[in-house]
Amino acid sequence: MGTRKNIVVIDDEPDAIEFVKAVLSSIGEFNIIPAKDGEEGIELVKKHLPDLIILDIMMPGQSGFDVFYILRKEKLTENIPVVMLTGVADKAGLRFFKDDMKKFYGFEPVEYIEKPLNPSVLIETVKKIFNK
Amino acid sequence: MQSSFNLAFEIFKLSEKTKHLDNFLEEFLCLVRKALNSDYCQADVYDKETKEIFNHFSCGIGNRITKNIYEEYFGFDLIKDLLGKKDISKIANLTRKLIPVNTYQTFNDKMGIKINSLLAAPLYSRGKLLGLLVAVNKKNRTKFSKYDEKLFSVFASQAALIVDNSRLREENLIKERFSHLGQRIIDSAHGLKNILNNMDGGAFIVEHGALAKNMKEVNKGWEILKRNSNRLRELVLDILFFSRPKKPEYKLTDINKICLDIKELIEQSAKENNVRINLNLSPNTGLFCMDPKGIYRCLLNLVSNSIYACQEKGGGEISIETSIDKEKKLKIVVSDTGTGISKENLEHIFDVFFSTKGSKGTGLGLAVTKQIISEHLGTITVDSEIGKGSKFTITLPKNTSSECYQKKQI
Repeated sequence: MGTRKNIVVIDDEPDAIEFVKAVLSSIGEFNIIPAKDGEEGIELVKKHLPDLIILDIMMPGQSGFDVFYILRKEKLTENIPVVMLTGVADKAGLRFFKDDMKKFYGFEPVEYIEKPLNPSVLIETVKKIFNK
Repeated sequence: MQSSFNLAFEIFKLSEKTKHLDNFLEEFLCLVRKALNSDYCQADVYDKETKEIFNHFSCGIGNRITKNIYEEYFGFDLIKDLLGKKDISKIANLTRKLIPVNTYQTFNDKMGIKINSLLAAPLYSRGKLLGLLVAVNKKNRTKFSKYDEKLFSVFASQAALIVDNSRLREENLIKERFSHLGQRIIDSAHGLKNILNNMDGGAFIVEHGALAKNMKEVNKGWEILKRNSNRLRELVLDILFFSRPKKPEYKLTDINKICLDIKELIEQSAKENNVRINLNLSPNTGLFCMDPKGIYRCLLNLVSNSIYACQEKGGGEISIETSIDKEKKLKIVVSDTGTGISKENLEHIFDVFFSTKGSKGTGLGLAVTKQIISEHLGTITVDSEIGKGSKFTITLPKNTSSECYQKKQI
């Protein structure tokens, strides 16, 4: 019986965070730590050093990619698995960022999950991460 | 009599300063009448698609008739009747004998004008026939000279250009709306995806709450669904507004009644949020020419924003003021004691898809408002201070669009 896992969820839509919370509560007990923007998210990640970060890409101010880059650059947070949520309609644009991130920095999140969220996709991904 | 050059210059100045085609054509016709020293001038603008008279303007002696009556007796055939059936691109200089009988009779009976001589010129621009320009009777009872014909053709081409220009501007307005829409579809897809994601979330939470017999969860999910279905409605309505194919419908409207309707509509919601609505409506506004549905939407957007701003502060006061200023312009002021707008955001608040309301905003409300006000050739300005509140001022110039004003029959 392990302790509860901490998951920081960064999304400017509070209802979206509720959705993630509800989906994850159906497979286990997690401590969901919400953040409404990149700045708050990074602060909370450094404070709690969570077991997983779920990160929305399209946010006002810092985008998910900016946050992801910052977290990967820091020794403290570079190994925390990250799942990115995307509502970006322009798939070509997303691919551009995805490829750049990988090519220039070798940074890749565990998974990109599209919004609207399909609960089973999120569930499978989280199970995969925590069963390692 | 002024020289032709001076008159052409006056017409140029006129076209620069008048914004409404109707105002321009009436004044233009009076200048033409002066230049030719004639009794009467008229211009008819045709709708190329329906071949109907779109509008009828005139200057000079004679009874003014309404557009409907004019259409009944003349219609599109006047062009053919006066210019001849073969080549209607040339100017016609007609004396009494050559005027078709029914034209002569109608001018005589309906407008009280006995035609002695007549000049008629088609309004052509970019190869399209846009209407007809007519001058009737020289004051000294002579025929129209060759010089008069030349001058008249210059005026006709000027009028044609200006009518075409105003048509282009109208078409442009519609295209602009579509291009705005097209450009923003990708951005709006993001807003829509968020709303849909949230609705899926709400439904998920309701379902799982019901299964676990957890009413708290069911209620939470339900609130999420309600909230996002409202967002969806507002977003769709605003997008639909942007894709309206028709131009605004202008009518003589009582602005104070619109303000009273809006107060009634939001009274309940305002009370729930501890917001008081004050109306300060001037009795001098009378009936003003505007698109009532559009202006209603503008005011509703502004007042909704004000309620939101006051909500953030836990309550407040909204004032709606109407008045007519010294230049006969209609002023509508919506002010609140809400959270105010920061200097950085002030620059962007009218941008499409800019919103400071986070999950509650569509980003379209103020953009739609600004669009409607621009179509009225009016202005909207904002004064705001963080923590104190905001004041939006709409100014609408007098609109003598013929949809509001029918010419009277004497």
